[in-house]
Amino acid sequence: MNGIRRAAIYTVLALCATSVSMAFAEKSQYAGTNLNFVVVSDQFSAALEALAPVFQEQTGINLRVTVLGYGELYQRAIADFIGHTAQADLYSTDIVWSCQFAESGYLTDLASLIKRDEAELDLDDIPTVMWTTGSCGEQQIAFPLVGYAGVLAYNKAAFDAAGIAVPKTVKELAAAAKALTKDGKAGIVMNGQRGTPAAQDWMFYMLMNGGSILGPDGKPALNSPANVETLELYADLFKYAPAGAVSYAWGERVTSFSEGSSMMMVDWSAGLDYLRPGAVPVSGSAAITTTPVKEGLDPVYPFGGWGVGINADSTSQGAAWEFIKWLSSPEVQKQYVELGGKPIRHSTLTDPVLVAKYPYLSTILEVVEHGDGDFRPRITQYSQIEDAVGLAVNLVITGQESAQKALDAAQATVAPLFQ
Amino acid sequence: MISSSTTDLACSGGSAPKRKRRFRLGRRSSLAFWVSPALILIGVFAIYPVAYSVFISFFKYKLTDPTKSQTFVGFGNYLAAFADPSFIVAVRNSLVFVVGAVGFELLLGLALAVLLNRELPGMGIVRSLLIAPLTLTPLVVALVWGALYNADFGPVSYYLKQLGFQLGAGPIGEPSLALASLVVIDVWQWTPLMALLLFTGLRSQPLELHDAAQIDGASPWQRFLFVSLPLLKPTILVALVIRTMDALKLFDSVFAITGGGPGRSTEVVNYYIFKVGLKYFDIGYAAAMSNLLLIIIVIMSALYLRALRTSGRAS
Repeated sequence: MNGIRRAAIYTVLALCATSVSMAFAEKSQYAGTNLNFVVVSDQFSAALEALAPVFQEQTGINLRVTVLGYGELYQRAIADFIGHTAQADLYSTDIVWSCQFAESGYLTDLASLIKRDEAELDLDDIPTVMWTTGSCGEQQIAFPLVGYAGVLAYNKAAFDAAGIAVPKTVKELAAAAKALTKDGKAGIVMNGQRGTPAAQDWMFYMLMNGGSILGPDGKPALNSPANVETLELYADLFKYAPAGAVSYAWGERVTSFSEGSSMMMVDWSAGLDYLRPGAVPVSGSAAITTTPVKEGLDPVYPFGGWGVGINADSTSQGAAWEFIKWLSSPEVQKQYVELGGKPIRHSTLTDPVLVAKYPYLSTILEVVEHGDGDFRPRITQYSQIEDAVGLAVNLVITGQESAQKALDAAQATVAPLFQ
Repeated sequence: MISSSTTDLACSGGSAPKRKRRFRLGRRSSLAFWVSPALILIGVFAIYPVAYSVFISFFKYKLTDPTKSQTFVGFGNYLAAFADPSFIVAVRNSLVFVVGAVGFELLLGLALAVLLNRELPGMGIVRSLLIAPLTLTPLVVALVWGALYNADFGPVSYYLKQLGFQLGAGPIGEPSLALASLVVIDVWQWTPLMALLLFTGLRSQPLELHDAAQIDGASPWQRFLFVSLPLLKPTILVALVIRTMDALKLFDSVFAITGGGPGRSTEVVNYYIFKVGLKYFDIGYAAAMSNLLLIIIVIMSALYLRALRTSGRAS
């Protein structure tokens, strides 16, 4: 079945490629140039690998896509930038790396190129929040590559059976988690593993509950009352999570939901395999909606994703920019979605054919329109903040510390980084 | 004739001491030539990195610092390490892990070695199978054990619960069990190495001593305790040195399964250094901690080697 599906996609792709080729009738002036694009291992990386030969066919530019794990990509990129070895021309960059890379001058500032080609790029079609995947102040060191929405995934069948409405507020979320915890099933599942898994998941709830990592002065405010309250809520929700959730990372969390062991989770729209018919046991019962918001707060939703930046040391700047323009073109964006990528354009998110096929795009659009790309601060100190928060969250959910004490300690750890 | 022979000597290279010296020089340069590739490799891949690590440990040097500045701080990074609660906890966890893992591996390895030394049917196959865990990549082993330990899906947790053990959040989710769970993984993978090393030690022992002890009326247990074990001491010490050095560098299972948690219960030195060096890119501080780890390893190895020399003299 997968083979037939894949064959159909590639056939459509080939037809699209032919039609797009009409637009790129002549080979690029950079034909023959070799580009190495290092991307993180994610759903969209497979889409990029599939699109690489199409790009090569149309432009004559040779594109090699190298896929690496998250940590490996970060370390390799830094080593490449520091050593000025230009091992790769293009890098996928996590939204939270934006300012670190901008301040260090590792990537080419694309602002002037974007301005030069604004008509061609149709900038009005790219939602504002998408630019946070690579912006820092006036600089734009990466072009939006993939936009991820933080969404609430829920087991519709379980909600229907229990006669519960899908939660719109944080209180309703907690109540639903409690009500759905029965018959050996967990009402909700979260990441609890120390470090990035716990920190990132907790930050979803922090945003939902009106908290923030940085205060109005741009300094860390980890132990603010809202954050302490969120951590208490988060720890409380673990009562309704699977027993082992305190050591879960993304894989285990998604598995627990996909297998039907847990009824809700807050998740990135990166994979959404559980929405694909027949993919997992919960397929057909699973649905997504926007994340709940604390009573009385305006809806703000978690937004994340990846940009694509050009290595400042690359000798193929022109060809690299041509690839970025090609990938972000409306025609290619549609193919990109079909292959598993997540779109960056409003027109793609609202494309009637795609929306009919992938109804979840309308939820992503809603998140994008009210998205906050800065709920995980895009600053140089982010990795240390994330680590401190990850430790604090884990200490609280394993009953070793109180929320106040743990966040006080985290605040004491990160505060010196801002002096 | 005399003059002729003198001429011959002169032609053949001069006086005997001179020849000897030249021969020695020739031999030395020949030896130096053949050893030089190894020396160059050691210099480039071992001595230079260690020397550079010592050098940068005296600087505040953060790779991602936009100013790319390196400020000399003397022993500041070393003093910071001693004042860093995370580093202290990591050292303590590493030492507890070493004692637990290597201790169990030694006891189980010794028992296995004694069994292997017996000519029982199928022992050849058992010896071959013992190598299997050693051939697996530690990261893969860690990922598999992570799945086995999963409190909700994992068979280990399932069967332990069936046996009546109250595991709460599972072997890796409970702060009191997490480090012990990592010890189990290490014991599973590396006990066979210990067993094989000790087995070769047992095999190399002279049979005459055992025969003599048997004739003197020693029981099998007495023969093991007073003949086999003392003769095995050098092998045990070598095995301990190898395993201690390795266990102190524990990384894979922490990286793949626990992330140092729950809380700080499995944060070990190597993982903490990795975080500081390759996540925060605080290279100067990471280098200082690496050097401290190196010192710990050298001290422990020296203690073992001293014991080895003592046992050598005694025997």
